Amino acid sequence: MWGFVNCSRYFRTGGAPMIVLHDASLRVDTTEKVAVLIRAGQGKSTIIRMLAGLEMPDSGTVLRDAGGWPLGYSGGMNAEMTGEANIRTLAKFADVDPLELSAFCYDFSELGSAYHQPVKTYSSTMKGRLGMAASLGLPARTYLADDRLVSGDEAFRAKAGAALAERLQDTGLIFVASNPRQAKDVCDRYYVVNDGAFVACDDYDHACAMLDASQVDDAGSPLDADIPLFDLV
Amino acid sequence: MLDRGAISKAHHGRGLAEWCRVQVDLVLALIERDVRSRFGETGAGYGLAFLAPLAWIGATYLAFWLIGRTSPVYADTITFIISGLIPYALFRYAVTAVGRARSLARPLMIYPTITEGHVAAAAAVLEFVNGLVLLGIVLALNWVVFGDFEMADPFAFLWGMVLCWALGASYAYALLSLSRINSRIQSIGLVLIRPTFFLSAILFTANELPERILEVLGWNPLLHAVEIARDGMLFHYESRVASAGYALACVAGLLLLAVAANAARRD
Repeated sequence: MWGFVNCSRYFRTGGAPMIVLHDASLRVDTTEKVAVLIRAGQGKSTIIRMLAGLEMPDSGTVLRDAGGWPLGYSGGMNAEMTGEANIRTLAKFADVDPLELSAFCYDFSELGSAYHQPVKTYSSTMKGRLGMAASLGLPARTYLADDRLVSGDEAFRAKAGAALAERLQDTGLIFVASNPRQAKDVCDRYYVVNDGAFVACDDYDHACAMLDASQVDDAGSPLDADIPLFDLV
Repeated sequence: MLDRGAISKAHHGRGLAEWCRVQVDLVLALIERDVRSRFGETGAGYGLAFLAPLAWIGATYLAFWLIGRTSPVYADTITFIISGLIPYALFRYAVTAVGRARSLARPLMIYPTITEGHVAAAAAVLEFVNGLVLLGIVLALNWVVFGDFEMADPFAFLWGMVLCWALGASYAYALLSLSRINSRIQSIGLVLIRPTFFLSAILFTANELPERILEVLGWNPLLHAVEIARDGMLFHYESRVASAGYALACVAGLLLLAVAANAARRD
């Protein structure tokens, strides 16, 4: 079970108060696929950080399940260690067989000999591939995704998208995004964060309309295709 | 693809022994990661890590020589200095390492199995091992260069080292936990321990202190731990004040404070 119970989280940015959540509640079952849409710069990463336990709300309770792993996250990789050593370390963090996870990641990431080189020599695309491979190999019960589901070149996005779709048959997803496109055909439920509350939407189109409307209210211009998007295969 | 059934096995229905094994594996994995990030892949940085305490010992010896101070007990000056300085260095390095736990843990805590406590434990254990390696290097250098070696009771010396390390680790963990309530507490706490170099029987022995001063300095648990270590190393020194019980009570108190601070933050 994931979610928020009467949670509030406020910031002060440049002297002005910013409301991320205000007495907001949301309930997500472990294997549900839920998209939480929020305008860019309004606390998307804060919501993910609270769900991951990295940040506490000012008030209220965050519901967290033990099996939530970040999707496509490579920020925990040690730059001095090789890709292989990082994956073996991750396997120990997750209590899975390091050899098995390493073999899977080697194949899936298609990094070739670079897999045995220090991560500091990787480009951001290579790190993304390794992060995605690790996410798909780790024993997640729910994925926590921050703004994007899959990334990389077209062929890798297609492959990762297909693998993710397979994993999502029995794994949950909480996708917090400022651009809804990747959530289409993946998520079962949609919410838009508006005035610090989670507003339930009927479907994807309704969520997009509501997000657009909130963007108009806030900035005076509707949401365009302003961020490179990667359609999930 | 991995066997997804393993997920359930990993997270559900395991006993206490299995839980302990997982925690130990996590801490060991973090230690391995920490070693590589602190010292690099080549291992060349290992030498640099031990140069600082060696320079510390050299500077203290130089200061003794400049002010004409010699060992207050029947032992050569270098051996006297290292009998107090090595345990103290372990205390300070434990404080620094555990104090870094939050920044080290930040990119890792998004993984559901990793907590700040794991990272702090890994940093503390690694620092203790480093302290033992440092001790070996210093004793070997003292013997090879100066021909001096004393270790009256290795277990007593090790016990003093453990107490110094535990005091440093628990103090830093308490600061780390309290800083969740107020972020300034950690920096204030780190400033507060700076004078301990002069107040913990490193440059002098507790036995040579006047009673009135000892009554005050005796409240410092680090003085007791350093005296236990010195008692263990030097053949001709027997501390009249060293109390392991007092040092242990302080460690327990600091850990309780950390637990209370963590609980208060959760509420």
